[in-house]
Amino acid sequence: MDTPSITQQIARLNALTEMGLLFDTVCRAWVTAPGCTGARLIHADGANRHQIRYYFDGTFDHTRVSRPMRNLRPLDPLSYALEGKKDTGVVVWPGDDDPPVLPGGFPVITPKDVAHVQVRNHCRAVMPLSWGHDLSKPVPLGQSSSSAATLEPMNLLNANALVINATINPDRIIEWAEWMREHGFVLKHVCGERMTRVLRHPHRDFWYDPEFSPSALSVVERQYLRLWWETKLPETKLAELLELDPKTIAKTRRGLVERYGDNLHRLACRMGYMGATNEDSSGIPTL
Amino acid sequence: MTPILETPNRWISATAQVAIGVSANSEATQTYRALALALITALNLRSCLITVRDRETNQHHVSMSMIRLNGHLPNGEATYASQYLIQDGPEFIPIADNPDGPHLNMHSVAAWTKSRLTVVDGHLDPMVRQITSAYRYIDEWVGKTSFFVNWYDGRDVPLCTASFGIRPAQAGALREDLDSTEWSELYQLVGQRLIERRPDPVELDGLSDRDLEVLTCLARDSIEDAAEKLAITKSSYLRRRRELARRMNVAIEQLPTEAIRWILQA
Repeated sequence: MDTPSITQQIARLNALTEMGLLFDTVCRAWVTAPGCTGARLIHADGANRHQIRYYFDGTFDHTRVSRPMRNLRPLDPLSYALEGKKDTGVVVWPGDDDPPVLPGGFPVITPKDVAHVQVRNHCRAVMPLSWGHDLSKPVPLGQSSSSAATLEPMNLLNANALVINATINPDRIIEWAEWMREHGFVLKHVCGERMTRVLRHPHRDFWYDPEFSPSALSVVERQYLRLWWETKLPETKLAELLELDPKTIAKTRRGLVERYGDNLHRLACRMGYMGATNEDSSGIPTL
Repeated sequence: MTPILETPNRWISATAQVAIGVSANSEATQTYRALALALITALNLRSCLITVRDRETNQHHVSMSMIRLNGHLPNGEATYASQYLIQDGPEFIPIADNPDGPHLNMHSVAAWTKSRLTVVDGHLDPMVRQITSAYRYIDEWVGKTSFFVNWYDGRDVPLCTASFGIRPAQAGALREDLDSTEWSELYQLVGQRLIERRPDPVELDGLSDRDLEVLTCLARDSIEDAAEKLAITKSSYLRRRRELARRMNVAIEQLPTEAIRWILQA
């Protein structure tokens, strides 16, 4: 799929009920850029960061999602981009050779230019998914109840941001920067608007947890949860439908409750069942 | 706001403007201006009036944005001046209580057609005669074809209406545009964003604040936690839950799912 149509697809997704699909589609959109070989979607808050999606060589690596990492502010490019280059993002150029001059004066950081920034050994772009409007200004209350949470300091995207970390082939970096000028900035703002919707919703904590990984659930747990969500039948009936021993079902339920708390509705929302029309499209291994 | 780069494809450009500018997170003036400009871009219009349903009455419309394009048309054709003129439209647009009227304006007639597009073909169009004679200004409709695009959200009065006029000679092309797949996709996107911005689930009408508190607890908390939070006994909570399920006409097992749908729209 080309960039404009995938951008339109992102714009049409429901940021709340199709959140998993949104995250996956955002990663897929960024790797449509020339020379881009992989993309990670990272949630950065004040103290930590979580790698909530890892997309490489055309597939999602679900063993690497939701890995909490220490925030190395201000020593890493991600914090650097969030603090200084939120509107444009930055290209990180490793190695000792001089970086090429990118079209449009795209900012590049190298170990020489910015000595305190820890630059690793691959060329990449760090793109905070910002949204065009002034985020430091709270939205007037009464326009929409979803703006009610904007007055909480934790909702300011300075402290709570989603960032794309895209790996770029250094030989195609000029081509990539041209793509950025043509499509990338629109894509960045479209993604940013949807992500802001997720992060600013007053009830976002109900279904969004950067540490939650859908792939952590076993096949039986998924089967049970999905069927329960759709039918709300008691365990004995679910056991019949799934052709499983009722004891296995009870054990599955207990396992889920122990790990995720007793609100299975919440767990189903985090799995993305509320807006799911086709589970395959989320890229998560299916039943 | 960061300017959006122009692309040669007006539909993509308009979609980007809606995707970025028509958001639950932006303030009203910006949102509706972005919508008007996106429609101007997509349909090559010279002017567009956006009106939305009044939050207080849920019955009448108020004008949110009126944009007249005096500069170049979005397709690059020159016009006679060089700027956007942003002005306020009519402050208050009364919509009739029922389809038979009395209609004091075309917005009211168009609202009750219950269709997403109403076209008025000049002053001889029978639609014009539906406006009560004392308020019918025939001159207003002479020599132009007027379009009213409505976005509904389950109520009788549309959530939002975009209206624009064009010379009859150019109306054919505009009708074709309004019949295209690209327009349909843009229309859907605008509708989705407007509803996100103004959640107003009609089925929850008449629920008290206390009922809404119960609904929030149903979505988020266990029975014990909910009863504690609402400072009622467990049996009172269960009774309220049964009553709520009856009033919302859903099975009690499905009530938490409905409650979650509701908090998602909040």
